[in-house]
Amino acid sequence: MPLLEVKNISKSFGGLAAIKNVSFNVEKGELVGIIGPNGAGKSTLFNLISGIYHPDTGRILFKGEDITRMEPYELVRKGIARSWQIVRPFRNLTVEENIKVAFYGGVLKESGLDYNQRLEEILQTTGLLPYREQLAKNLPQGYLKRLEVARAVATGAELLMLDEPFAGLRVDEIKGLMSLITTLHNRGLTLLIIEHVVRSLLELTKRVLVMHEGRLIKEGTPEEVKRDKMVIEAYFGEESEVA
Amino acid sequence: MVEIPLQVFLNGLTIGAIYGLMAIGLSLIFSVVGIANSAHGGFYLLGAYVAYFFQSIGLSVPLAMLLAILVVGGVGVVVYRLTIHPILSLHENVLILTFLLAIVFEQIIRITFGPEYKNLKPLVTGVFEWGGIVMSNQRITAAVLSVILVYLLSLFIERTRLGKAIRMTTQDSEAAQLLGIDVMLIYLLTFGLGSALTAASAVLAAPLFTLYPAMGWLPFILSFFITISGGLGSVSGALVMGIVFGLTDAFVSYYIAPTWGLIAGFVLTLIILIVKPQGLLGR
Amino acid sequence: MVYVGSRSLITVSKSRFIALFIIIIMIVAPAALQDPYITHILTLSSIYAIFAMSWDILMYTNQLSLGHSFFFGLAAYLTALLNSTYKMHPIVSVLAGVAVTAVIGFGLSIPFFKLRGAYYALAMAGLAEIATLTVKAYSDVTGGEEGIRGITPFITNYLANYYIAFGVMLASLIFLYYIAERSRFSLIFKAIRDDEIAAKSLGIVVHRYRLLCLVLGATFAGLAGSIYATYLTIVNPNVLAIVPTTALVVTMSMVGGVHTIVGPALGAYIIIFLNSFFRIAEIIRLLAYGLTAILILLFLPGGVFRYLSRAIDYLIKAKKV
Repeated sequence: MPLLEVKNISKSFGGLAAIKNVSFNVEKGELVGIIGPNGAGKSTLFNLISGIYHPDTGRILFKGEDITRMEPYELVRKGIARSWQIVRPFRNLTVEENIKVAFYGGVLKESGLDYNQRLEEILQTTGLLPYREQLAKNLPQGYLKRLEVARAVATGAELLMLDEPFAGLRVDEIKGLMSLITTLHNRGLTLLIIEHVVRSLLELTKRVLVMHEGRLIKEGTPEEVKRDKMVIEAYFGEESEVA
Repeated sequence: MVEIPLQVFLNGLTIGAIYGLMAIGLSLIFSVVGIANSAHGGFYLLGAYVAYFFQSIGLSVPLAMLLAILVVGGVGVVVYRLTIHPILSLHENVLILTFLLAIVFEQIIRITFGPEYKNLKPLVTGVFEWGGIVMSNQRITAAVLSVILVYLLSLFIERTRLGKAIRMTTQDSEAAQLLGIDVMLIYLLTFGLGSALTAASAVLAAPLFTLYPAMGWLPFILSFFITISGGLGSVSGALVMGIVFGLTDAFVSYYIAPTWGLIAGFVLTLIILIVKPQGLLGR
Repeated sequence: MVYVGSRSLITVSKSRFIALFIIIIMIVAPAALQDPYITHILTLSSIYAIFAMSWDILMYTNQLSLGHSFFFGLAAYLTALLNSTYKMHPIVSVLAGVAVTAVIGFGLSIPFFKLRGAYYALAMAGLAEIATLTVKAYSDVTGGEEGIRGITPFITNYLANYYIAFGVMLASLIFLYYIAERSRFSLIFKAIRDDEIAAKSLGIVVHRYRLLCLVLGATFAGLAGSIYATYLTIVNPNVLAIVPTTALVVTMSMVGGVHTIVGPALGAYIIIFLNSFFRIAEIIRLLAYGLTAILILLFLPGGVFRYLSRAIDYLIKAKKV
């Protein structure tokens, strides 16, 4: 059974159709990328899956359970966590405290894990260990992005949805984040990543979904997608790659 | 006996117009500056008592009222500049600050004038009678002037250059700033105008009731509920909602019991908010 | 050096020592002094301290209320009615008053569910105002402007009354302080205050915590109101009114320092003490508090308690070096 099943979802705002009949599956342990020009509906898709909006038609299933109408906090309890494109750290809390909050909200509270150990693990993996007592508002952007990921991981989620994690980062910061994502993937987490920095994303993933004007126009390996005529047309004239 | 419902209706209409003017100052400040001015009742109070003061030293009623409006407008500008603007971004603190200001105003009035009930002389005296309907001339005048003032305000906002600047600042204060509009000046002006309009409603309405130091709180609560259920950013919304509230108050007060009138009005505003969260005429 | 959070254990036990010292003084002094007036002031301070703390717990989840006198006065009137009119036992009346207020607080969470910021604050104020008007109107039941008299106190001895009030205050302080600052809720409250939406997206069920604070706030305000009515043996519409009752509690908390629990309690003592020393200038009291609170808001936004505790911390650290 696929971890995530998106079946024929559509969403309109006012008269504008933002998502038109999108369907795809994500298997457990996959790392799937979502790309597409601006306004294609990538973030809306995320918002629909993470419960911020609810689709007008269609269904979304997670581990076989219908999650279409669930609220964001319920979804976190089920095991889906997302990070934000524009980071939302708790500015007046320390890095450590930021992560601890996720423990309270997440899946793990049911399993009675040792939080201190888990905290150390996450700080270690995300490279935030030296910053643990820093207030989030004093952190540089690259580390704020890591904090976003750290918090999502801390909820104990099985499916991590990252919304443009590389946005606004320098090349070296992107590399660091990429290796973090790879590490998490190797540990068994399932990842769904939206990215505009297409080149970096195509290095990470084996499967790419391409969106354009609310529709899923192509699904395949990075090579297939790069060569596809429709995809190239959609991107024609678009500044979509980082130099 | 057609007269009683008609009388009640006219009572409600007139008090409603006055409620509308009462609320408009709050609505203006809330929409433009983006803060809930909890000192609203304080400015109402000041308007009434300053007019009373000018009357007691012998000035004519119209002059006293006009001066009161100007004075309170000035106080509004000064108070805004000194205390509110510095902490404008801290919404919570502004709420508490303006609340405390209202208390300070009330205490100053109580110390200066004493806690006893006072009376403000009306602009026009006498009673209007026609076909069984009875209404004080002051009430009619107050209602008419209220509507006129609200109309003038909407003209000012829609038709003048300054009004346009205000509208632009309301939509997007950062963009307005970039276009060369002095946002602080706009806020000062709006706050002063809002306070002045509140004072105007006080000098018009107060002769119909009595003056006492705690008189500002009910108008404040009324104005707040009328503002949010009438719709933020809508001048006519406050007036329309004020009239709706006034009519509800009048009918329920007469046919059920006086206290229930206001309560019914509040319940109505809550219902409107549930049905249409942006308010009756809100955007 | 062992660390508890980010303060050293030595510092923590030193401030506990100071707190214990203060508590001992507060227990011993009234009995030693045998002065009814000072004891009365202390009793009143204790009651208002409970009230101020109940307002503060709401602030922990950003639920600023400008009508907190609603709960205080509601409980006060209920207790007064049960006690004076229906001749029920003082303690039963108090318990009933608190229970009903708690339930109403719980019930209010539904209509207040979506309200934030100014809307929340002023909707509360609206409640207080409506309640005041209602109480004044139904004078045959509530005694109108005059209020209700002849409430039977717990006990007639002034010292015993003090110990009851102080005891309840201390228990409330410890309880609320624990919940607000030292429990697993503390971090969640902080997160909700910082960014509610981020908290939601991490799975925090925000409305449950807001509900918790609302119920706690209502309950303890009710507790304060009930004890107030029983101690003073009279109530009048002022206990429900925005001015003076909500004004007092806001001022006390501002002066003491919002969301610290201890701060507002301290603020209550400060204000009530100033109250008694400015007896001559009774008429300018509330004006003075209002102005003070404004000045503190503008220039000393943390309130007295924060600066005091920072100063104490600093002195302790300086002494150790």
